[in-house]
Amino acid sequence: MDLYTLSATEIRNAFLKGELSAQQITSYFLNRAEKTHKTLGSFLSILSERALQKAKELDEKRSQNQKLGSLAAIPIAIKDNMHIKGEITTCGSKMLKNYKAPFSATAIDLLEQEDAILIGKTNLDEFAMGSSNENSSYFPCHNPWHLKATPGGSSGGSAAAIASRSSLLATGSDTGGSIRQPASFCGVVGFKPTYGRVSRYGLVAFGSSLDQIGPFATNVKDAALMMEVMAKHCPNDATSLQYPPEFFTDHLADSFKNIKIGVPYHFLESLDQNSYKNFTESVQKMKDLGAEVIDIDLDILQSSIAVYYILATAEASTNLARFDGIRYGMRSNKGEDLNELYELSREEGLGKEVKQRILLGTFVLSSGHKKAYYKKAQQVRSLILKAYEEAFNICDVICMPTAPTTAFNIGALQDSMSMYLQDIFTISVNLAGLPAISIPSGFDAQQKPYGIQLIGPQLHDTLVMSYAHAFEMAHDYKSKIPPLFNKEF
Amino acid sequence: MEKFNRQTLENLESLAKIKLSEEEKIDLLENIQKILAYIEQLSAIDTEDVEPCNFVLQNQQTNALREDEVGELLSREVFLDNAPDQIGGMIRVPSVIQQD
Repeated sequence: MDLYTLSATEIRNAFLKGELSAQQITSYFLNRAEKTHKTLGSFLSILSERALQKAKELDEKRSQNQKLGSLAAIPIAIKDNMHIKGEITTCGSKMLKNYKAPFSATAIDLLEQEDAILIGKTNLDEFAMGSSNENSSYFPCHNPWHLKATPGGSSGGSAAAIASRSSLLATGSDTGGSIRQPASFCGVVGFKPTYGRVSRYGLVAFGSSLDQIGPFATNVKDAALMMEVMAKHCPNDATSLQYPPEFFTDHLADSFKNIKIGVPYHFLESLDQNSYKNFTESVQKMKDLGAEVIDIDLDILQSSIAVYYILATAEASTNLARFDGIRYGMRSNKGEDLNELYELSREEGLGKEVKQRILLGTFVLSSGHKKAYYKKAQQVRSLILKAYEEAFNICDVICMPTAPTTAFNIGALQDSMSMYLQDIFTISVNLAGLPAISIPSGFDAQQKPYGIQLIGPQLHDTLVMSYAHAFEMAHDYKSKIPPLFNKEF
Repeated sequence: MEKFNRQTLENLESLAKIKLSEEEKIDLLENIQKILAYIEQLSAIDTEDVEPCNFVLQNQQTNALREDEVGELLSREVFLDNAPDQIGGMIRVPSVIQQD
């Protein structure tokens, strides 16, 4: 049938025309999800019953000539830190092993309102803390291009699901690069909207001033379609933008004519030789399409990881205080009094990286340290915002690599700092609340994907998508499927 | 920057309500010390007269309060579905007040 080679838009069209039923499409991708998961560890749960029920209802809708949604019959995988009402949300943690979501996230509701079929919950670093999916308390996820390698993180499962074509769309969440970096490692498209563009209601909070939900797709047009659906104001999220919906799919450019691309060459000086070669070749492609490239100063971004690991951990320490074993989640039965109940439930339920970040966050907020750390970080955050603003005065979009290298092997980075440094090109974007996308830009000598990142000013989400589309048109990477998965299952 | 030592970590444990194992304490102490050494670079950045960034979206803050009206509530049943231990429609926890 080769359905896996189709785009989300093509699948929907086939459904609308009556060439395929929603149940056929759903069974097909559920089967693919189950089979590919055995090799990849990409899913934490596959929602067969729910998906087939929804598919059945959708087929009935079509047979009754009812209006069909813009995502009709498209299979979507959901990162397991977003709630689907009645289904388990684990956040990749033992703490929430049996937690049944009492409501659906707004983004989820919006997807289902457009008749998307949610096929499963994908694997992630625990509570979205990590850059390799190795911090999942369940099992690691593998890169479909190179099984010994990580798919990136924290949205590793979603990226792997798209790359292996077991789903055609997926959600991720991005706090420091957790959509873009896995997209880069897995050779797919991953987009982080402007802060506030997509509601965080129903996304389990990690860093509330940084988190955003965004789409993974095999191509930019599909990602744009998904953004159109999700980018709506939500009264349950106080940081949700009060803006009318944007029509992302109306503005997909084919060239870079009259566009100024800012590249922070000095900041990129320490980039690995091979990555740098791929990056400059990609920038050349944009020049060939009409772009003018301008050198910009973003040296302040050297401080962005330090700033992030103060602010994000501070916010995480507050957000994860709710996991105390009282109202929900894992409760230790070893505690002899209330205090021990808290301490042991958290000790047993939370993984190492999560505990480390909570403790670090507690430290930077504690009496006597708050000024030196938290306040200082917030001030440098202002400087980072200002640097981007000044850069955008002289260019339209900024281009950087997504990650310092292609996917590293599982177990290769044992040291916290070397893991944290992976996010050097993505993290500042969250600090500044900017929209950014990672799109495939080639392969290394081991056939592992490279990704390139386009970053726009706040609220310029359609601009970023638009020029990502132009870059995508210049090559064939979007049709590349990992050899192991380029077949029927 | 003050030294981050074992005592500091133990204070944090009680603030964050996490009881670490001995092995974890040794590991985390080393890791956090390294991270704080890395973070130290921020002290070299001049932030005199720089406003702390309290909200990342410029000019987008609107009054996000709503009317004080009863909205959709989570039913007790749904809420208790996730409770580790319950009795008579309430969550059961170990005794807080010491019994003599």
